[in-house]
Amino acid sequence: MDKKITDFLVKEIKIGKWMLAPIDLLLFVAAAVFSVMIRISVVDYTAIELPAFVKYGNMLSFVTGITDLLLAVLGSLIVYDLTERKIRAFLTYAILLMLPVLCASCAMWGMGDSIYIFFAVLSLYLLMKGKGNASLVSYGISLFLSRYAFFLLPVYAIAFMQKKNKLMYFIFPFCGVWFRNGIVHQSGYLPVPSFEMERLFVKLRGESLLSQNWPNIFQMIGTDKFIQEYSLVAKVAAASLMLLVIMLVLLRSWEMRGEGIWYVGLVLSILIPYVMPQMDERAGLLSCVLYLLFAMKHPDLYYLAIVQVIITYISFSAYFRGESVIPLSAVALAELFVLLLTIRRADHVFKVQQEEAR
Amino acid sequence: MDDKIRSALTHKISVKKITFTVMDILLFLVLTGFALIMRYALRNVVAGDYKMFFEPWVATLREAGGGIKGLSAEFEYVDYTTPYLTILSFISICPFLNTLLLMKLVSIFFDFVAAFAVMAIVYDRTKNMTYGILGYGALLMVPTVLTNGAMWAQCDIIFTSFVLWSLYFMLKDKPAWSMAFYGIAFAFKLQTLFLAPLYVILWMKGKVKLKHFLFLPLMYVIGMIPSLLAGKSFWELISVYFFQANGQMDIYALSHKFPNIYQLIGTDSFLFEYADAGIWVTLGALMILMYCFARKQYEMNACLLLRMGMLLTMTVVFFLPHMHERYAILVDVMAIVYVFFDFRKLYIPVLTILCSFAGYTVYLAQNNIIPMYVYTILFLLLMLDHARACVKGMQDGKIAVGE
Repeated sequence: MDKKITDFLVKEIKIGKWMLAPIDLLLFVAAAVFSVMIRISVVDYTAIELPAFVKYGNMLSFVTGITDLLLAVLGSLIVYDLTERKIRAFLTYAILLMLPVLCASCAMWGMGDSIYIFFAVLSLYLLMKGKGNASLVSYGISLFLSRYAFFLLPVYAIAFMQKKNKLMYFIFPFCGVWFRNGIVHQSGYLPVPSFEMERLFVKLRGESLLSQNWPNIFQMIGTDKFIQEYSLVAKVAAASLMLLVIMLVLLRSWEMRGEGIWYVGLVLSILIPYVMPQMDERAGLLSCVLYLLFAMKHPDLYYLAIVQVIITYISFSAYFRGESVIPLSAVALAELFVLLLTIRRADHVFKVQQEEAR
Repeated sequence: MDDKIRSALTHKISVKKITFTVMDILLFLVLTGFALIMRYALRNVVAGDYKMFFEPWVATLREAGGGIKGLSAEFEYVDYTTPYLTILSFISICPFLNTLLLMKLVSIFFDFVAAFAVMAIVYDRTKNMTYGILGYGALLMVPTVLTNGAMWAQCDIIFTSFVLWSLYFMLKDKPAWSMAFYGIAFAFKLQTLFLAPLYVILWMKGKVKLKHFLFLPLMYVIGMIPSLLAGKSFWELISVYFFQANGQMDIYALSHKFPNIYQLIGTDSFLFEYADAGIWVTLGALMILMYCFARKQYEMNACLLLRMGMLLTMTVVFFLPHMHERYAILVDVMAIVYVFFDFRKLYIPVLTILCSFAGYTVYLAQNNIIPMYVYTILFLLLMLDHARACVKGMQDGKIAVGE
């Protein structure tokens, strides 16, 4: 009797073109239920009494619940494409659905970051699938929704140099930035919490700290001195680093495809917020998602993915509580180690890719 | 003369199939003596819990008549089940010694029960009695085991000792006995369930049968009998764990001095939000681990079983809100057993017990020399190390292409 039940649970059956076991479906449903329960637990919290948060916060939490699900499904598809392993794909789905940083950002804080992350990840997926132009459309939407999608720009520049997309399609990212700036910086108004938050930052610019709880370089050298000066210097430094990444990939003739795309995106999503000024707590969200996807291909790096998620949540917590339990300078040091250990993997990733291509 | 002494010390004695030397007996006696002296030194310490909870409980039991009769007492608040209350009730009418010492003696007795379980597991693994006795001694010297009973007068070692015997029988491939002991442990404390996911995985791997799980409710109900005889209602007795699961007494902090995730993000904010979300995150994390362990095809061996047990228990105490200092005692004792399976992992019990004991120090001595988040990071690193070891263990024991 017991054997029958356990055998039934792990016996694969054909569903469509997939071979799935009942235990996979059990995980699929249970992860969805648990993720809903996590969100319900925190949804009543209102982080900021801004009109958009009060009015639309709950609605956005519901909408992002759907995009969280879409992101989890997309993530599992990507992992399956990268690894061709079902178990890892299902694990990705479950982990992404219950990822504390996404739950906190969307259901608790009402920022709706999973929407821009979904489009950013979709755009990288389309690029991986050889649809470079469609990828730029998706990237444009992502840029419209959040400034943090900007970290990925060099990926598309490299893709252009490697003939994976057309220059004309860069109009979409451009439009994305233009519309968002119009809404945030100029007269336009859209009651979206993340826009309203950004609008608040724009008003405060010049007075705001060099880092808003994000554990980056400014947490080690001071966030409240030389604000004007360091802001400009850091932006130029970030642009230089982006250029450096582009040139490095091109000069070393690294063909950016498959996991290489995810790797470059991942490095950028950690590197750029590390030097950019006025980064807030949510600056590390994209890197958490990208790291999880990447770690599924490189399981030996799983610990770095977990550390990245914890670092991001510590940063969230510093905002929610008004202070961090661990000094953010120490967390910034940990983030630096994550960055360096990730960069160390570059040669390995591209060498394996080249060997596979041969 | 010297040679005679040497040969006498190394003289082999066989009792049934167990062979040991005179030196082993001496080692056993010395370690037992040391363990007793250490406990004797701590006998007079009165912890806050004793004054606040145990002393009034024992007084209430005494007023109600003590013994079985005492169990009819009405408490303002009590979160212990009948088996331990029965022990307390008999202590309340014991004419010898004082209540505190008697309570500590009960815990010390179970320290030795647990130590014998470790000895049995280690001997079974190594077939060398010296190792077995070293395991026995190691458990008795573990700071968290030592202070839990002999200093604090807590009784976590009771359920822990039964869990250890359960693991012993599981490793001996006697699932019915194993689940019976697990059921006894469950009758004493709800924290036994921290290890429940392991038994589910063992069921998936064909090591336990579904019917064996019936020992849990069965032992719990058997444990209730003294209170039922004393006139308590069935519902009141069965709801003790529901009350505990609601954590109604612990809601003022997300972690009670235990180095878990809440020490990184703050133990005093979002008490209600994180309390609920934390439970679901814990269940989610366990589900992911269980899926991973149950879905893959591999040969389950003793070492892997222990690794998984430790990882699952660590996951629970790391994510679950309202964890107390003492709740990782299962991990501490399993780590002692584990090191006899893989000596290269000596750092695991050392660091695990260090993290665990940090909470004890904060409670007992009100000392917080190293910030608790440092211990949390250490505990997290140990968890990651365990996860890696589990994956490696599954790969080593792969019996078919699992993916």
